[in-house]
Amino acid sequence: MVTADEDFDAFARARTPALVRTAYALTGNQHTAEDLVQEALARTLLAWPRLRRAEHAEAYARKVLYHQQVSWWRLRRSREYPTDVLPDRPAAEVAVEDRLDLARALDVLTRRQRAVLVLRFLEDRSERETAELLRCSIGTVKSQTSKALARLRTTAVAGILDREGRASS
Amino acid sequence: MTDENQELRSGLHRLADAAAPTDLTARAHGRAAQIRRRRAAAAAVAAIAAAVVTIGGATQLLAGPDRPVPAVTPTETPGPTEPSPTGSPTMPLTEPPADPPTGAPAEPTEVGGELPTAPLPVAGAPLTLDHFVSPSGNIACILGAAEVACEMDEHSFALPPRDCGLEDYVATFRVSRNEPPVVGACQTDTAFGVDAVLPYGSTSRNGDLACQSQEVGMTCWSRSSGHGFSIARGDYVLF
Repeated sequence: MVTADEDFDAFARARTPALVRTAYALTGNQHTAEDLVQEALARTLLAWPRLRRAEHAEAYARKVLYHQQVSWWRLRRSREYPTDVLPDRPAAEVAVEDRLDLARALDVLTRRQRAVLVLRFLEDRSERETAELLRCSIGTVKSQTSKALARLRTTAVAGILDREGRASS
Repeated sequence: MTDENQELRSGLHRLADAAAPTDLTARAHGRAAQIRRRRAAAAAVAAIAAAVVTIGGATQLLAGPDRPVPAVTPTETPGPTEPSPTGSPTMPLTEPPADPPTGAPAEPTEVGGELPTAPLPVAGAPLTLDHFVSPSGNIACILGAAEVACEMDEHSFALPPRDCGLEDYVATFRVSRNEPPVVGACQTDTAFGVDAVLPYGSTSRNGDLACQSQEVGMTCWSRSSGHGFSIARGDYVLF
């Protein structure tokens, strides 16, 4: 007979990679992403007796993930972490640079703006689903998306100019 | 979807792909055990506080009207500038809320009672935590010497409108030594993420400012001015 702990462990092992992926997009940092997922899984474990149907557990864990990110963002973003070591995967240099540019650009967004973008463009959630997950109105999702995109545009242009300046000097 | 949005979508996927695969199952068990211990400790402190109140009440009852005994008074004597708690008795500690319905988190919540509308008497020696969260984890406070600010994670009340531009509008409540309380702030410091918990029934003090945690909510006030706020998931009161 499978115990509740074994049941949870199987869920956690199966879903952790996907959760860490989302958490990394939310935080841009492996350490914080792991902390975030650890917290989400711990709270899911505490609620496990009521969440044994796997799809409920996943939904619950993701909800905790987003809410924790909103809570931790301002506290942790000012902390210093060791520089991330990018995974040892073959990738074109330009792709890495693009990724770092996007990571830097996302860093200037507010926690909610970043969460909205991840939900809308990484997870392909609808505006309604995004609003429900973040407990805000659809209007807020629209306005935050618009503000976030405007801010990304400004930062991205600045990044390109900076890169071109470095190349020509 | 526009080209720009498609580019962002691809970029976010590339960023997420940079996450290193890992197994966090053991860490999750460890953290869950830590949360369980923290909850048990908070519940024990609340039970002791409730027992002290009960014993105090029973002593007064046994004494009867013709047998004066020293009244059970708060150990903190209000100073000359300490405002009176408007003559009202200490807010009764309410029972913790019932278990949430299936599927909801099994967290304690600061809901369901009438919020205090004045500074609270302090039973026992106050703590000196300057950063702490409520036992439910929904309220986080920074208790400075000049100002106390508490932020709420989840709340069902509406905040007064305020334009924060591109920044987040945060459910923060602040009171300083001599100014009335202020609601809402744009992008501010937060105590969320700290480990210190102010147990129900406990008070933390920093100079003239103090906060008391109760099942009904968190109350913070200035002992100089008598101004303060009480906050819970469902409501808030400024005084």
